[in-house]
Amino acid sequence: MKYKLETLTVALVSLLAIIPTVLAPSASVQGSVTVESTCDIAASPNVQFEPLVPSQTSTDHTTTVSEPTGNIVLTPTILGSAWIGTGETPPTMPVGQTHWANSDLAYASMTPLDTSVASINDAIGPEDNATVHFKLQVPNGQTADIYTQTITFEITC
Amino acid sequence: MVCLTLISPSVFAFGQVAGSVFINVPVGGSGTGSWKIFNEEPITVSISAEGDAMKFISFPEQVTLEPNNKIYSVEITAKIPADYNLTQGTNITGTLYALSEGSPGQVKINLQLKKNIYILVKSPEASAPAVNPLTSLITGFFSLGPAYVLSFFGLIILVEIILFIKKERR
Repeated sequence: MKYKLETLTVALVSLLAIIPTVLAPSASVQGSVTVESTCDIAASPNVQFEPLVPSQTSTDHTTTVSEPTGNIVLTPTILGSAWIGTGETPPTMPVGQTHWANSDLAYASMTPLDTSVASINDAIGPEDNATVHFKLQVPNGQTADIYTQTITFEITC
Repeated sequence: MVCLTLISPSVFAFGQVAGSVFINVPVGGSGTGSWKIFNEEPITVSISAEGDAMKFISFPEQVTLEPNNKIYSVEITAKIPADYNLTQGTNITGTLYALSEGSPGQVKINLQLKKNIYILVKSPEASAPAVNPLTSLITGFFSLGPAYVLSFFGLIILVEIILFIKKERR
């Protein structure tokens, strides 16, 4: 009786020892990856207006807004700042002297740039782009100086 | 004549992972959320916020992104004071901005990412879900997997057998 029980015990211990090995997950590896939804923006080149005299309107200048790597269709918005001259008390030009549009229109038909965001109207998708046209008109009597302006393209997703 | 300064052309590419930032915060506590942004080239980005959520959040004002679109998680921490009155609202909204400034020049073209943020305010009681300890124990045990569960029962049988043998020897 004792011998049988001891044999049974040894067998059971052996069985217990191999259970985790037998039932353990196999060694094969299954890979997976999550591709996130993203949006991104690029703008090129910078706008470069030619030298102008008061009352003169610039020629058409463009910048291309694109989504180089993202996978969501988006519509960028645009906003700007006033033109600022140089010196301690620099002269300024209103932000709205710069007009923009999705095509080469007459200055009066284009949208004045504003400090508030406005949609550029063209939706861009992956590896897509939109061309934004700019024209600047210098007001009568504008102080002679070197002026700079900031234009911001914004995206959300 | 009005002169306009010369600039060199530049190219940017600046992006973010889609989706709003949601942060669950108990009254008198804090919570964190992350905003994932990236860029092709290494740049320093300015982070700002506006809206009601601005009063309750903190974040780094500037972050430096590594090249090759490596994702950077901007950590947003929200804290709700203990005396916050829930009638003021349990969904505090705001907007986050990440600004990449363009090259200085006649016209500087900036690129900006915008992200909505929601702080979901919970009462302290609602924030601590009740967990039945027995349920937790059973669930935890069986989550070990079939091999360990069988081994456990096998061990019990083994102990029983050893006790039986000892009893027989006496």
